[in-house]
Amino acid sequence: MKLLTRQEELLLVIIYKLKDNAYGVTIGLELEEITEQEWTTGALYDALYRMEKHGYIKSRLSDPTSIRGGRSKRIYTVSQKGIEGLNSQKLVQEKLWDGISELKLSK
Amino acid sequence: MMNNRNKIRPPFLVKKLFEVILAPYTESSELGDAEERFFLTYEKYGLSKAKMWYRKNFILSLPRNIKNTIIWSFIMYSNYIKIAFRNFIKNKSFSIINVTGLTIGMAGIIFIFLWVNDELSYDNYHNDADDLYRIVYSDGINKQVKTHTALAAALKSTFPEVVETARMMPSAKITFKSISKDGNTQRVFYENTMIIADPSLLDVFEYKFIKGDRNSAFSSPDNLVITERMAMKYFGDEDPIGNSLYLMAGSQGRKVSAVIENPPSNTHLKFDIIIHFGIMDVMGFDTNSWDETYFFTYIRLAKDTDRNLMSSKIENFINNYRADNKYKVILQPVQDIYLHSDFGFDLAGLGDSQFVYIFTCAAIIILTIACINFINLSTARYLPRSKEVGMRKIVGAKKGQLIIQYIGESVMVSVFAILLAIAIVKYFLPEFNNFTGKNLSFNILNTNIGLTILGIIFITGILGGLYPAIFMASFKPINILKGKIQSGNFSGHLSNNSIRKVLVVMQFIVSVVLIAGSIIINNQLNYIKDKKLGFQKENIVYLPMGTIGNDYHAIKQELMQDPNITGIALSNYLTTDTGNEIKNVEWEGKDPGAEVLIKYKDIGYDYLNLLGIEMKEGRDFSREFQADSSDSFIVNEKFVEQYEISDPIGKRLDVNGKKGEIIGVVENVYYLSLYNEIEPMIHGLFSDLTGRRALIEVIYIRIDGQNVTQALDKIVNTWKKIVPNIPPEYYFLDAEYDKIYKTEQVMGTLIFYFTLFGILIACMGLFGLTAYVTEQRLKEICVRKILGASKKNILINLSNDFLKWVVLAIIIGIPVSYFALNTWLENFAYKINIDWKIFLFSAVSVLIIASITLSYHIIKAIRANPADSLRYE
Repeated sequence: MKLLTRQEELLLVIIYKLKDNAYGVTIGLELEEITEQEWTTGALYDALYRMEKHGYIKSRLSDPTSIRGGRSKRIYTVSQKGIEGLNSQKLVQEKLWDGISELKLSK
Repeated sequence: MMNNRNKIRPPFLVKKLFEVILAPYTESSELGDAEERFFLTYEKYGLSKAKMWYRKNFILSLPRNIKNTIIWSFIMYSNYIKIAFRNFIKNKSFSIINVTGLTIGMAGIIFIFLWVNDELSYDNYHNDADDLYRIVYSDGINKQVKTHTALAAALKSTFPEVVETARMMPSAKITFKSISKDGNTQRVFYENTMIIADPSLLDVFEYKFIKGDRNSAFSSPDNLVITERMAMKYFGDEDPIGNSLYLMAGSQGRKVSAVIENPPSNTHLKFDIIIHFGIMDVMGFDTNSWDETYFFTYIRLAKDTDRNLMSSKIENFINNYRADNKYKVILQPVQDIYLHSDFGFDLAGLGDSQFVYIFTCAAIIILTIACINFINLSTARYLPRSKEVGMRKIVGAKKGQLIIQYIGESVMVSVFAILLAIAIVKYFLPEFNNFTGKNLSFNILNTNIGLTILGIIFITGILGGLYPAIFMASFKPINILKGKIQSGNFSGHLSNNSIRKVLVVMQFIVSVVLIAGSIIINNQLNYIKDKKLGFQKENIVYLPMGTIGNDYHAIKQELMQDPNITGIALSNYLTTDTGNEIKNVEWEGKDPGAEVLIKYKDIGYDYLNLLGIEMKEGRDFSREFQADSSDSFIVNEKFVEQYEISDPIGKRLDVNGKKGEIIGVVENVYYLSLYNEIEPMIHGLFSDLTGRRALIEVIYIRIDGQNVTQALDKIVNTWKKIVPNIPPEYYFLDAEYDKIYKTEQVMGTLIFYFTLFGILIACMGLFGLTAYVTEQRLKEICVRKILGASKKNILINLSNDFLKWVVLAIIIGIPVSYFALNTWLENFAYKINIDWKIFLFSAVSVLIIASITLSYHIIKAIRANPADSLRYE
């Protein structure tokens, strides 16, 4: 089974959580809030384009709004393949962490 | 908040930059996101923070955006190239016609450019060439290059702005001899490359010394300066300095004092040997006179001297010496001499600016036809690609991008064509040089040539591609995809169609003008060449007499016994040489105030007879009259006419103190070319060989035209037997005359070839166009056939479509060419009449050529099986 990368996982989860409001700005802000890091445009958009190409997410263009200089938003949703990917990722995660409640150095 | 919105904007410049980089190749939503984020930051942290964020975001994303731009442009351009290449392959015959036409045109243009460039480059190479002038005298009607003999020295010593002056005199053909130091090898050549000049000529033109220097050159008046190639010719590997050349029978040799670099081929003043001007004194000329005008005067002025002011200064200066001075002074720039001289007594072998104009026009015409073709064929070829344009537009191609794409394609084709053209030029350049008698080189890195090539690419590629590109890019995708611009409907697009018709008409106007022009130009050139010269130049061999002296009689006696040799005679100048000019001529009834300068040549017994020159009055020199050798003269008709001498026979005539009388009048003979008017001439008798000093005498032998080889063998063998120490050298007189008309001959042939080029290219255009149109109309033709149209009907229908435009072109082209050629012919003193048959001929040939070109594709279309092309309807 093909595993998602950490970055893909992050983005997929965020898009999933944001539901109908997942586009460049919201994804970026959420990402920065969770990771407490600055994300460059390249890291964000190129990852999104790549994931769309791989079929994990789908996108559509919204109507243009004036606050955006008359430009539309590209709104992303998680696709069937993305959901499957996330599910298996979650399974692996749980298996991996099974039995560990707190991390400390062994004596 | 909303009120403020107008003021709150991302930093303007950064935003613009961002958009420029991102816009063509990226999602516009990215830009929107950045803007939205800017406003969010503003609301949260204020304007300065927001601006900072925006700038930072721009800088951080720059590497990625630039990378994207490069990748996408690369993909886009490689797609353009791929599509261009596919289209090139898909329409093989079109592409080949297009490229071939362009290549031929471009090669023609490059050749013309090389030739014109060389013609225009004459004498540009001198140091400070702008300061070099030749003095020309004008009496208001006639201009002459012979100036007062005292002028040069006087100018130099009077005017500070005159840097240097020199007098020069070209010499007739003459025999030179060299003897090697050990006395064993003699080399004898008959040369016409000698000039007689002041030593200061070396300073005026700043010739470079190979051996010796300016101080040693002409350290004595008996010295010579020769060029490198002469040094090689006469002395081989021996050091020429101090060696002697002999130019007079029995005279002291003249020592070579310096060797200068060969002057470049693009100079008006061609020479190989300079003789010190002192020889003119020896020969009895007054070289410091304000009465005589004999010599050329060259002058080097100080930098930035005003030319007009200087000429009036010189004029006033001459007036001081001669109150009766009738000459105006013109300072002719040395660079103008080759192309723009139309003066009396000038040098031979000068060029003609007319041909430069003719060929420049030819180049422009050829380039125009090639471009028209290119536009025509490209537009035709693009129509089936309208769907491609539609698709490109729909996926977001901007009009500008499409124009760039199509211009790029045409530039590619023209670059390809010019590469082929360059290869052709390289390959044929030796032929071309051989043929034009020039020594042209073709180096692409040369600035002028490089610029020309870029210019040709620009004109054909960009201008030629611009129209079809704009035409294509202006299609509306909705119309294309709905099928409103059907590729099959040639006549559907009105503006395009009418422009194309105009182009076809123009092309054929040019063809008509070219055909009529080349016929008339060639006729005129032949007319000049073949106009009755007044004597027979065929089957006459001439030999420079050299130093053989009285051995002539023995040679003559022996040769006259041979049946293949029908005559032998002497003269002291070659017929193509002007001969002496004599000022001191008096005759009965001469206007006492008249100043004259009359040509004079000594001729031997039988000379007139040998050349077939007829006597108008009186008699030829004859051995029966003892007095002929001392006091008889023969004059030409022009002499009698110009000086209004009635009843000339028996009139007293004194030439240079030799008193005599006129015994005969000969008909006028065009000794030189027909560019020169006939001038008055006097002949004396050339009988005594022992007293001759200068080696300018020539032996003429008339031979039997049927047995040329035997006759020549006989001449050579006889000469070798009687004068074994001098190698015989013989030439044909008609070849000498052909040399005079070499330029005309070359021009005539070149014009012929360029006409061929032009017509060929025009036909290729028409051929391509018919192919296209018949292909597009194939369905229509098939439907017509099915509905019962006869082959004849279809043929007429299709041909009319084109031929009516060709006819229109003929109707416009004939008056255009008549006018242009009439203007050209005005330049000639002796000219042909323009015959209307020439226009008829060019009209008919254009029609025939056009019909043949058309018929190939039309017949192909008529023969096509309707079932094949209508199967899918």
